[in-house]
Amino acid sequence: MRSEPTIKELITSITSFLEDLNFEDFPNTKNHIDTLKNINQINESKINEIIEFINDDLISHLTGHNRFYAFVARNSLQIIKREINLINSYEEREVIRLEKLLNKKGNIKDLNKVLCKRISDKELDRDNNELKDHLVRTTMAKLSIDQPNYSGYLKGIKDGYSQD
Amino acid sequence: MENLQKILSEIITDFIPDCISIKDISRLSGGSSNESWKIILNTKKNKKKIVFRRTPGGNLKDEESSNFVDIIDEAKVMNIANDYNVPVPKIIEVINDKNIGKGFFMEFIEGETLGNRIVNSDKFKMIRPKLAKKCGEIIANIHKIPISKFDNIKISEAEDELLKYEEVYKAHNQDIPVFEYTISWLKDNIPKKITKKLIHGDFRNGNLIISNDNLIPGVLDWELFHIGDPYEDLSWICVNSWRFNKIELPVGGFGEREDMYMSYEKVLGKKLDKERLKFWEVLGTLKWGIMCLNMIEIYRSGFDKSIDRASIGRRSSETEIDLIRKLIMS
Repeated sequence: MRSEPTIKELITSITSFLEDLNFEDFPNTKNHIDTLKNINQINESKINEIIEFINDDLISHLTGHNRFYAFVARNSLQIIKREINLINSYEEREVIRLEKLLNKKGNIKDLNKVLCKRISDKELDRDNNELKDHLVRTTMAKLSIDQPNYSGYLKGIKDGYSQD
Repeated sequence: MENLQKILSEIITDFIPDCISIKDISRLSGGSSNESWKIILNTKKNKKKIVFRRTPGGNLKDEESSNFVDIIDEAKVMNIANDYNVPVPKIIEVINDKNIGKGFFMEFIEGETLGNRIVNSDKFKMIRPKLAKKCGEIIANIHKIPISKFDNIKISEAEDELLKYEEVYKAHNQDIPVFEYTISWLKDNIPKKITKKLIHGDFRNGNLIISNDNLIPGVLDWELFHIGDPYEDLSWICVNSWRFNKIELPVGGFGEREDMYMSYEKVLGKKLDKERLKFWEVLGTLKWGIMCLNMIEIYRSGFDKSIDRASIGRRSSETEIDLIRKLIMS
């Protein structure tokens, strides 16, 4: 299931950061803000253009806190790009696993709610192998979008954790 | 900032009589709730550095503020820690001023506090293997401070901590199965009550001053100190989030567990319980994951609309893989 904050919230936070910049110093900023505001039209190539702008215009010229924010903005854009590319196939497989594990049909949000309740109520045993495999796969998928350079994720790959 | 400099220059001679003027003040970075400022003074003899730490004015506190002790108590615990051989910057003066708020002045200790540099820089290559042992000694000395030294300090043990963070997680209203699994495991493994100690509450890489001359000359950020289970301090520094990508070195990304445990056991003369250490490391990992979720709530509330406040929410999943490793794949 998708992590939070949502893509929309991440885009809003990047937009606010760009809006706070001095447009005279970075005249292209306005175009990129327009692209971000047109959220339904966002795609990989548009994100790449903004990342390029951040690398070439912002990171090399900004200093202090704004430079740090530019790095954060680039990182958030990379998360968005990975989520756009990967999330649908991950969620499809997650739903298939959940329906089997819970013996129940439903959408991803409702199924996760049921899963949480069954774990909490111990209707599903913590030693259940199917449950454990599901949690490992779902978490590895999540990390591949959110933080693919994180040490814990890289160790998971190295140690052969199950992946979708 | 100019205003702060002006006010400080008016009061500083009250307790540093040879101060002629303030040469410069700059905000020190750090994720804590209280502000720290580095002040460079011109004195009659030479230049001198000190630190001013204060509670940000009024509404600047974030939603976690209920966890923090009063800054006057922070100064008090640092003074007492100093008496018990815990390395801390010495307190110079505690103030409660109507213009600049409550806070204290303390000694400036030279060294590195950025976790990333501490685990990566060649500069610290020779001392890194010695730091875990030092941490064990320091934590043991903190735990030797008699709790009778304090009145009205919050008591929070395993169950209290777990319930508090479970509540924050539920308030966020996002169903995260790995967190649910972890909470269930923690509830079944709550340690039996043991003698409560005064604990630092945020003892980790990032809150320690590291120096080639004397390893750890200062422990900072005492604002979360409380009475609780001493194992909390020993485990928090091992949470993977504080290893700065050096996963293979569990103590702060710079050292081995056994080095820390052995030196702690040596000072206090008792053997540590590994299961209890695991419990607190799992709880610590969960806590950081939930704190990341809470950042999303702070962003949504409009209190802080900065881009980094929003993006840190996506770091919550880091703790999920760490919990999987501790509970499912171990």
